[in-house]
Amino acid sequence: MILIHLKCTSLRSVQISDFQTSARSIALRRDTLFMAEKNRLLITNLHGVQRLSVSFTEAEGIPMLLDLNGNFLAITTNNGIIKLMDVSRKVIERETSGNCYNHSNTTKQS
Amino acid sequence: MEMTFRHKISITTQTYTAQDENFVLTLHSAGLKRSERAISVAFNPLQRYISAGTRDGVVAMWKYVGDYSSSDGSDQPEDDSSDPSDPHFSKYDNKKTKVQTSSSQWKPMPSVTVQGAVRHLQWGPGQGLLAAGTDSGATMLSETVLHRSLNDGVAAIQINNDTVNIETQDNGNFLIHTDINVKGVVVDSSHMVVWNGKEAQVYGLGDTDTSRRQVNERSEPASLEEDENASHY
Repeated sequence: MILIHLKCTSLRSVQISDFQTSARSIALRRDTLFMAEKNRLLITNLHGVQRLSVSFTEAEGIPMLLDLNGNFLAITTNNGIIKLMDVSRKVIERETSGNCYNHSNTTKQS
Repeated sequence: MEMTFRHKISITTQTYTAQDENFVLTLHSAGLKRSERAISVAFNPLQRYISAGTRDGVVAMWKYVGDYSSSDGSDQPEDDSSDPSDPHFSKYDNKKTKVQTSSSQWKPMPSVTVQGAVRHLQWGPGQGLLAAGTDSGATMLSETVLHRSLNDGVAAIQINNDTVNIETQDNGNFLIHTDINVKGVVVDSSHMVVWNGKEAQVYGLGDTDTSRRQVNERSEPASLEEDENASHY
């Protein structure tokens, strides 16, 4: 008996969507996009259809960069704040999931 | 042939009231053939780029990567967060500074090939914009930051203004040609997203069957129509 392992090498890509957005930064998690757009964090599906919008206060600043590691999304703002969110939940509740760290002294706001 | 930038360096040193310093930057140091002949040159004081256009249609560039020190010999603080390339930056405007330059402090940048001999070079008013005039027309060269993303064993590396190379640990690599000037890229095991500040494009990655399945399974009800179309690939 001869066992032959066939390794698929037919890599290809398919364009799923193309939508308008002024996002400065985008993070990707499975079928969800996190977009730093204007003064808010926009959470959409892969077609850009909005699921949730999280507005940032003037004190927090404008979201500039996003980075996702596992279940946690880090958001940096132009006011020098890093905001962390647990995005593993179905519904992201900003009041309970956001932690802000100031560059001068660490403060937990939630 | 060696090409001297004495005239341009002289202008630079007048701006910063530095001592007379002359040196040579060779086209060969920028990766060009020794047979190349420079016929035009332009200096960008804002970003500290020197560019030279050759008879064979190559634009070579160097970027100044050395430090600046004040006229009294004391070094500027290294942790200074001010950006000298910022158009609003005026720290050096009213202060005599000394430019300590040598050819080793000019880092060669990747060269660009255009059509025809580069008879004129002119930096634009903004950052990272260079116009190259040839016999047949003008070519606008825009500085592009190449992005990359690594996730779940998949790497996306931007290799051009609109092209991203996808590499996987198991299945090799392939290119994705987008029709936008990529300003950001993010990838995971099954998708890649590129954007340019005005629009975003989402690509499904994998073999043919996998791509079909991803498109069908990972869609919202509002987008079912598009997904069905995508499944015909």
